[in-house]
Amino acid sequence: MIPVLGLIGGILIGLFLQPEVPLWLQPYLPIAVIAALDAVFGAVRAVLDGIFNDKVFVVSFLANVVVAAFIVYLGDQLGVGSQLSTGVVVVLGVRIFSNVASIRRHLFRA
Amino acid sequence: MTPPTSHRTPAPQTTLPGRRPDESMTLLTSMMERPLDPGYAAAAEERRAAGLPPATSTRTPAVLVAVLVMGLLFATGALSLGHRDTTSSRARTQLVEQIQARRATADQSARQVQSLQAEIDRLQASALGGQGDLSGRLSSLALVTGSAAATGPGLTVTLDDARTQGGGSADGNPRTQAEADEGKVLSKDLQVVANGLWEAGAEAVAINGQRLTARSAIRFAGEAILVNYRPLTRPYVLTAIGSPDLEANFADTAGGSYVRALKDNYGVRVTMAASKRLTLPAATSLTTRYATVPGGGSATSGPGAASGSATTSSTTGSTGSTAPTDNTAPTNSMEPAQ
Repeated sequence: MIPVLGLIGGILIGLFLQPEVPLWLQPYLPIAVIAALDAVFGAVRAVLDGIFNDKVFVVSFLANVVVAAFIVYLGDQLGVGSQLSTGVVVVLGVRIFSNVASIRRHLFRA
Repeated sequence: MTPPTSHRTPAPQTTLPGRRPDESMTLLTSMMERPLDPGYAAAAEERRAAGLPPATSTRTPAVLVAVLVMGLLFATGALSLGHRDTTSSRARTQLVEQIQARRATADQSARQVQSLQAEIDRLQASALGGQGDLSGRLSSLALVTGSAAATGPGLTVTLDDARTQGGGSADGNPRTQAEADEGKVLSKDLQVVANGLWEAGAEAVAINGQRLTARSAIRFAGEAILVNYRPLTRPYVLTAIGSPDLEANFADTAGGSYVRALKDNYGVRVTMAASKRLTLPAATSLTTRYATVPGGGSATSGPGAASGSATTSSTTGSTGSTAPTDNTAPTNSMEPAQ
């Protein structure tokens, strides 16, 4: 319950403050959002599996965001930024989908 | 009894024993089969070995902070990434609103001009009350120059773009559908048809309600056809007042054969209909600023002056207003066969 409230609180803070994203950070924002979504669904699945670990959750979230941003940065430097962004989105998207499928099996037994 | 194939060497295996046939796709299989971070399972295993319950609490400060940051990230992402779209669409709607407002203002001004013109005509008629020959000459000149509305039997020619096969380009961008331009009605088509109508004996011509006068130009501005500096929208309706056999006369002119060629070769949709009674509106912008009546000396402006110096006003008028490019000649270079 607390994490859900925290998530909602974070969203409300964001909506209330409307932080200005600097221009150089804008290309990384979608990737960071996808990586954070992946961490959230992974954590929900781990909770349902009964193996949630707070340290793993925090570290995986940070590492996901940093690595995804680094890959996009590298791609930008190499001139294949959009392709690498697509790759990151595909990988994380597949992970999100199968985590959601597992969560669905836990919740609805279907 | 042994089967006849027993002494043969067994068929070579495509994969070595102990190796999976989908080994080359380990990346995909591992991605699909183990989407969860192995970190969770490993940490749970460690805690089990240490005698602790495998799961930790979800209420630790670190989780709370991370979750707050995530929420912030989602909100920021939604706001700033959705924002880019709305700025351009907002600018678009603003532009559309501006266009509509300006067009409404222009229409209102045109109506005002017409009502004022009617008042002028009325006052002129009352001022010239005694002199019947002058007022008659004035009204006939106003009719010919287009400063008065005209009514009579005539012909309606409707031109519309050809139906595009397969809907053309999916994005609707005119730049990407070069081949679809073949069936598009161009300003040149309207020019030729209008000239054909004059040639066939039309006494007054209007395109989509824009009366053609000595100062009218039919020209392109980007993708739109402009008549009297007003952009037209499809379909293009040319109305001409003339003798009842205007349609037959028009078919004999170069314009008539041009229209048939447009129809047959490019699929431009052309319909012609003769009417017993057509009403053409008066032209709204007939004042001259530079052209004067020779010998008169004074800069009179109005329908009479415009008719007296039509050839000069058609050129000076277009430079006086803010026309960006005049790549087409005025239609009325051909003299009306009256």
